[in-house]
Amino acid sequence: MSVNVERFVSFEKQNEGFTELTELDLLPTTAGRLRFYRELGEWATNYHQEGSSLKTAFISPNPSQGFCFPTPFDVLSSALMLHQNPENISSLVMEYLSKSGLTESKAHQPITTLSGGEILQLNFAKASASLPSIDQLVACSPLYWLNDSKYVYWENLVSEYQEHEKSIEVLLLTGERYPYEGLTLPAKNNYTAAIDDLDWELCIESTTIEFPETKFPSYCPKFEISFEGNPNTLTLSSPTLITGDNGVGKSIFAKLMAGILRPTSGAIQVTSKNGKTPARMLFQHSTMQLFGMSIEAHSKSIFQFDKGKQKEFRRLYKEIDGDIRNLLSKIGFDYLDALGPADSTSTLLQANIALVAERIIGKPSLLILDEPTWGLARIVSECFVTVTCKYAHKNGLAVAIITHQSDWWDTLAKSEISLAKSEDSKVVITPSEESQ
Amino acid sequence: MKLLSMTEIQPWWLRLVVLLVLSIPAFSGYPFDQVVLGLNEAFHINKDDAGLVVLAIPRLMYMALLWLVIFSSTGASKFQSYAMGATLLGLTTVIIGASVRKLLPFLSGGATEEEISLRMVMLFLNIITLIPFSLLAVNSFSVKNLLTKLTRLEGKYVELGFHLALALRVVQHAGEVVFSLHEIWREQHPSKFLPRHKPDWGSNWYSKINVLAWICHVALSWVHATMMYTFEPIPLMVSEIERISDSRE
Repeated sequence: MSVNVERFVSFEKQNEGFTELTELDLLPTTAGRLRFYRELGEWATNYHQEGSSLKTAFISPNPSQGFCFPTPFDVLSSALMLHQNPENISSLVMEYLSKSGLTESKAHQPITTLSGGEILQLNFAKASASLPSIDQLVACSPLYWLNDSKYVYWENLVSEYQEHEKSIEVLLLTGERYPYEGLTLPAKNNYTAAIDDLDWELCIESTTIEFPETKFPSYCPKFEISFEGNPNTLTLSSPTLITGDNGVGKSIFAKLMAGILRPTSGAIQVTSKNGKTPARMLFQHSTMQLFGMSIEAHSKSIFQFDKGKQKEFRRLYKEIDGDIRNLLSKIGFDYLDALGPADSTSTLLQANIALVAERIIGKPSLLILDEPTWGLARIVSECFVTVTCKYAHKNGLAVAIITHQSDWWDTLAKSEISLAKSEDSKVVITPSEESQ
Repeated sequence: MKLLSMTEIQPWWLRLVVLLVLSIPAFSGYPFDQVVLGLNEAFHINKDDAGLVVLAIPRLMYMALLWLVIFSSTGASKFQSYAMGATLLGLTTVIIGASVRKLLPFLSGGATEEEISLRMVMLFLNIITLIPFSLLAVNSFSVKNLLTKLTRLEGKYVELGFHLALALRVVQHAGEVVFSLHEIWREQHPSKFLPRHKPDWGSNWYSKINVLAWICHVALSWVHATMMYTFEPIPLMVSEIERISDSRE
């Protein structure tokens, strides 16, 4: 059986493609409460009117959404339960976990504590465990959150499905890396000319953060992560890439810089033209940062007690949106309508623009974009990040990009720091040679 | 000394019975009145003179019992977050409740200030006792185990069991959503209780009224966001539970 690969120009189109193949509805959260409740009601009304003909395993566009249960053990044992003897389930679960590159210690951890890459690997394990009871696999962006070294787990899953003559549909975004397709990646673009230079300083005293043991409702052992700067104060040129293997602690490091998590000992400080203030973040799944509101309502609520900044925000939003559209038109991107209409905001890109504009106006020292390419076609994400950097620098903010696709940013990034675990399990943060 | 954890009580129906028994005083009021009477007799207090302390003693004892049960099941870290969340909600509710009754006295139906204060204290104790206990109760059952059992059963109530399993899982999922929303909230509003951008609050003497608009906004935002992100994966959850249900046939 072959692997069919289909590409989409936007997250919204990818969602539509997913729903078409799986007959599973994905409820919209960026279009506001009313639309969400209306679509939930419509789903509840129409549910069961059309029976599904195919039994499908899936990796949804937001891979953390495909799990009905709170821990990897429950997810895999419920998938295995459909065709296996319940007595053997425990050992089988561990087998499937290790087959997908996850350690046994992850079995009873809450899924919410897993990193993006680990969640994809759990999806692979679940798809593999469900294999005998399903007809096809529909996978959205199955490599997106993985480092190259982990692609082997996807390859193994594909081979397994092919051996059992089950079909695989892969739904990717335009320009997304998928090395098995035989397509060459688009030529690298160079949009960086308009970006001013901006240096920033990252000061890391030996910093440790401790997460206490939780034993209810699921077990997660006490663990701590220590970050060591090499050297202690790094002077970096923005935009800076933050790279490292899956699960090394990139997002935890970002949350420490943003003051969302407080270190148990030590300190991490960020200084730029705007002074010594905590960083602001665009999260991995940024849509949740709208807090269930439409883009328009969210912006209004954020600036409801600051009319001056509200005006400034509107102007900046329009400028960023306009610049991205102009840049894309110049490059010859033909699907501008997929970005969402300029006069009504509801797409993932528009949500990202609004969140970024709000952060730039607050003038923190650093803006961290945690996997900003998620859900965006490559060319769109390149334009989005480039324009974001331009306006951030103009306003004195440095930009840091957490990414697994460091080669996407070769022409844009001015420095890079990589996170790696040392022999004594500390995370050492080292600037790349060019950055020093 | 190792305290018994709720999840270790087997079989599951015995756990349910224990939880129901523990919740009897909250629903029936028994034996709060009896304890107050006993205290009045023991200390020769006239029934009408029984003060706040005497009335609060049985509820404090009940709270201590339930908190011990919760602590022994959840451990220190989770207990701390349950208790903090409940205290925050309790304080917000009673402070707003008391303020509204002060501003609009007709809402309290002719009750005196002492009676209103007493009612608010009791409400606060109920909230900080029952919210952590409800969270414990909801998370004490494994939906996966429930589904496993259901697949081995037959009869007209099995379908209802699958619906209940889904409902239980959705309620459990709400807890996970609140955790994620909390991180997002902290990033947006680092002081947690005040908005990040608020220069208009100091522009006029009457602009402090904005605090009320802010409180309403916070309450609505949290309620809707929790509901939306809890319901968001329902279509996918339903399809999975349906597949498990179909495997019986």
